[in-house]
Amino acid sequence: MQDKPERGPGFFADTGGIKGIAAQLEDAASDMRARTAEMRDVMFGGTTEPGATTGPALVFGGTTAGGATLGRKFDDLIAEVASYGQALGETMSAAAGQLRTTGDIYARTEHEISGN
Amino acid sequence: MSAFPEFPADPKNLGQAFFTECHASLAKKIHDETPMPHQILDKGAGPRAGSPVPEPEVWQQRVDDAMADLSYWQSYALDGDVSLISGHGPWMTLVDKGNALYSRACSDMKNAVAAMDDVWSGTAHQEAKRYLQTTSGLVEGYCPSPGSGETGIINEAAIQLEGAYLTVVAFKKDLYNLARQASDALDQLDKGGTGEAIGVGLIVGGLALEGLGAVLQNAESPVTAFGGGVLSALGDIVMSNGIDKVEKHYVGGRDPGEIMRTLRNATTKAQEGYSVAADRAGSDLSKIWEEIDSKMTNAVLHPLSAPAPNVSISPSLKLARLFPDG
Repeated sequence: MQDKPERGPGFFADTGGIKGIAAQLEDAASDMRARTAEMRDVMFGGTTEPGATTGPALVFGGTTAGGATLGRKFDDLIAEVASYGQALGETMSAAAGQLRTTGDIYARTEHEISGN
Repeated sequence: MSAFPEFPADPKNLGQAFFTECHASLAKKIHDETPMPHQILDKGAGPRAGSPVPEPEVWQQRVDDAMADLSYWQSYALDGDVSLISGHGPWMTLVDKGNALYSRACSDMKNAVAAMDDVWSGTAHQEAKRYLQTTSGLVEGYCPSPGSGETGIINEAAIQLEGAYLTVVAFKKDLYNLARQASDALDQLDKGGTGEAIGVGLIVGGLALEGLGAVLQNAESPVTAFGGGVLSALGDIVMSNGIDKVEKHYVGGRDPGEIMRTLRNATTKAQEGYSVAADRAGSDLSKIWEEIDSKMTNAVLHPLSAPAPNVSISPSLKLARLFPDG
């Protein structure tokens, strides 16, 4: 008597559904990239939008001890938060790409199963 | 006496234009209150012997000396301009963007993870789901859902950024308070008084002692930390942590020259306090910067190090697994 077969890695795969999730993830990644780009643009793009800065030395002081360094770190942190968001967007896109690849493989499998 | 500018309703208006007004007011008072010295003529002056003769050169020198000390104060008052940060500040821009991200990117990410169970099962599904959960965790750490109890990178950065800004605002407020006391002392001279020296506690002195931690400790967001007014929180630090700890700096004197010398000395103390407080705030900014950079380097930029779905299985192998009896 043959053992009960182990269920495979794609025991049940709704390839359309997987690709739908991938698309949803890509939308989320796109939103992440867009909004974190806005963070940078609003604060460093020379705009007059609320929240814009006009240079750290002008705000924190360029000659008073401690002011210039604090100003530089202030801007560095804003840039870092925005960069992190951009990197997150890329990571989310990578995850979406993984899912799309997976969906493609299982779709191909289905194709082969059906004998087409 | 000309009126000294009142403290602005919004501390953000402690900008260069405001301090230029303060300087002009003090300069006029120095000129008005510096007495004209007189020389008493001796016997050689003949009939005019014993008469007082004004000494405008000496008067001018005394005014110049007092103005030099005032310029020292002005050099710090005009170095940096807190009014240049528009709107509610970059920290609120971050919070706004974080909220927008939560309502879209973060929730989409979470929904995608949740939907995995509906469209896929099998061992590969588990791997893929873990991969998405790892990614979702990174996103959640950036802009967490409200009520999750997590501060998140965006809000944490926003709090520290506002704290840094408050440090320079506190410095400017101290400079205003010192100048205000100098003005009051000059007014006393105008009324025939002695320009009694009054001790002024420096907020930056309190910050240098305690840091912003006391305020931020119980804060859930920048809004709750500073929503009641940017300086009230800082004032609370100085008061709640013991005003006695904060050294007072006396500003006053018997003439404008002496008053301005005390203003100069107290300005030096304020500048020193700002330097220490700025270093402290800068260290806080560096700490979170390094934290973010480490996460970005070790986790976000290497997404493939997270558990990834196994998609390397060949279709034929998979067919065998799916249909072993086929």
